[in-house]
Amino acid sequence: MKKIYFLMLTTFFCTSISFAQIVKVQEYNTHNELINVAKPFIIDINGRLKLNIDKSILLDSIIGALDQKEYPSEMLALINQSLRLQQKTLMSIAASGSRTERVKALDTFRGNMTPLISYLVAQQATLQDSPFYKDLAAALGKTNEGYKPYFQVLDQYYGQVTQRYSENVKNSAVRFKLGGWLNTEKGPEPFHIEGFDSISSKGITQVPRFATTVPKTEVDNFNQARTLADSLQNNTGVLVDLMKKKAESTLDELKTIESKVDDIINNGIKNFESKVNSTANGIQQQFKLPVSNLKQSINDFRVNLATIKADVESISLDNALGLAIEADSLIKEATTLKTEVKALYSLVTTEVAQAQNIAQALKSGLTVDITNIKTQIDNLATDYLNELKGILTLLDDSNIKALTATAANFTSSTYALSYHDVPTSATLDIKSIGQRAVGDEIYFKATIQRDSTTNSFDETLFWQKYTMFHIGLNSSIRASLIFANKVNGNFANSTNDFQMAPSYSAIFKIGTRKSMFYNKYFTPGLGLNISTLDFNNDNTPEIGIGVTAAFFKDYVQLGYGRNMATDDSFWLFGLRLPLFGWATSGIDAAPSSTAVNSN
Amino acid sequence: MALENTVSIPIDDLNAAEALFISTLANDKISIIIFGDTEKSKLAITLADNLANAVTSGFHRQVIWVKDPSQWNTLRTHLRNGTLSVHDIDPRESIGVSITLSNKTEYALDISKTPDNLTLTLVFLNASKA
Repeated sequence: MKKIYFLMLTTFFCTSISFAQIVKVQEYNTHNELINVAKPFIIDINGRLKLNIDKSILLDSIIGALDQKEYPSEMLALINQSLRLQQKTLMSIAASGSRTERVKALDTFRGNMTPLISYLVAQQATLQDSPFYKDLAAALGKTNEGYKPYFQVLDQYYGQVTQRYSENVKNSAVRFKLGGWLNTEKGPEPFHIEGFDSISSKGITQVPRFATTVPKTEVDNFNQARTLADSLQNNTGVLVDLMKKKAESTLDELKTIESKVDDIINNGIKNFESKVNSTANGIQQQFKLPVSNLKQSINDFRVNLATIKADVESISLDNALGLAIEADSLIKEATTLKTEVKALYSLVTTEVAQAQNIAQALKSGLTVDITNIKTQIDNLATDYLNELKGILTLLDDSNIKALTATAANFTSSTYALSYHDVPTSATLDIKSIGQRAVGDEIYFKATIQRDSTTNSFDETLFWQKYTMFHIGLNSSIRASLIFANKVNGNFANSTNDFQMAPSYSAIFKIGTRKSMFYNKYFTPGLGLNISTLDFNNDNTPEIGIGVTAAFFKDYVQLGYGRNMATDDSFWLFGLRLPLFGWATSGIDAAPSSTAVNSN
Repeated sequence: MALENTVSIPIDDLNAAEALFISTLANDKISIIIFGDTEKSKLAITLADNLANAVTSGFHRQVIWVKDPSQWNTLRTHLRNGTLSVHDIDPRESIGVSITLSNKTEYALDISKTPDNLTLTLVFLNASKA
């Protein structure tokens, strides 16, 4: 057993993550190499993940959940952290190089050493007579041996303590659960993770990277573009006016939401943080991640709002059409972000509710603080939800509830595993999680549960959302309505500067793991546009072929082409269909984002 | 006691004390100042002098012993505000204080603490920055 802990501790030495999470998600890239999935948490829609369970953190969590503790959890956590950073700390002492490099190394040394020693000094009155404190102080005095004796003492005591705890852990009723959900337009659906549940596999579903045929939805859109082109050919003013009107109402909505979100950030969150900061370090650590996630989510929400608002505010006659469509699309994205905030709120409130149990050993005097914090964030999130509910008419309440409920509750098929039965890793083929579309999200959640009538709780150790996109080169085929502007001369029998025409665009893009905005909103691409023109107005279609650049989910296209029948060149401005309510198929029903079941 | 890493500031000549203090600060070492001549101070000096043997990231450490706290008002003018304001440091309430490489005041060890290798390591750690 001791060897296991030794191995765990050895593993700690190789990591430099200060606050590692219990579940570390990695993804296989195109070279079959594992890469860490980090913020903004974008994964390949056809990729493969490796979920690594850090059993040392799990052990700490379970130990923390047990009542029999020789040392405060906070101290053990700091010892654990110090041991993890041991190698980096020792290396920083011996750093050579320029003064700047040495100062940087000195900072690393100080940053790694200070947390535990600060804690011990703060607790000196109660700890100074303990063998651990005395041994540690003596080890620091062996300056001729550097800091190795210090770490040896930490290692020795941590090993002994965790070994003694392991027997309790082995016999405890504390169980670990890990689950994953796919959040689609239909709502969240749990999927199978090998070793962690008995959920039925949904088979392999590939989302085509390259569009090779024109989907029926785009054929329908093309036909609608033809109808639109015919009806609006001589009255473009109607189209632009409609777009401007749409943009104005969107802007009003956005301004109201923005002021509400600002209020939440500037008042609610700040108040909440000040409450948390007034508690002991251990409690602060407990809430650090969920609070940080909540803040990040709300901030992301605000950033997205600002982006949308800026787009709509800069609307003009020239760009009214494209931006209004973009804003319409983005406000729907904002409702999704709101859903995330609600889910995170649920998570935080759960954490807070459970914290009273987690903090059993620390509870003297802190229970009241925790209850106050819980009440405050509860009110904050409730107010936030109610305010937005009245503004975002697109909000789908049932979807939020379903997501929250599912995220909070595992299915009966999820295993409740004892510590020793928890696999250290699991491979998840994203292709096996079910029907999904570009931009869809998956969630992972890990908890420990304790089955006891006297002191039951369910502590969330990990909760993270990942968004799926095509990574690397991919393509799609879009039906679009183009506005063709002849380079030389006018159209036959017409004084119009533009001629509208239906077209198809085959657009190539490069997806990235680095930017949510790039993948979700900006989505630049280059492609080929084929249109049916009628420059000579003889009611006989002419084929136009051009190159086009597409932006904002292909809603806006700019290009240059040639009418192959009349040998005329033309500039084109294209709009992806559907336009608001003029097309009936879903906005996100893009050809490259539609899953095709290969089973 | 043999103090290898400690500079003892003279108590009978303020000008000499100030000159030595200035030259000691110019050493580009991680410094801590210990105040007074009490039992706690003497214990702190012994321990800190030993801890100053450690060289971290190529930077040496030193201990500056200001036996006469009344000199502090003069000596402190050569220090800069760090995390702690120089003027907030009261030698009657602190065993010692951390001085960074750029002579900023960072952390004061409260007089209520018992000097030991952990408390003094913490003082040195807080001094370990530019």
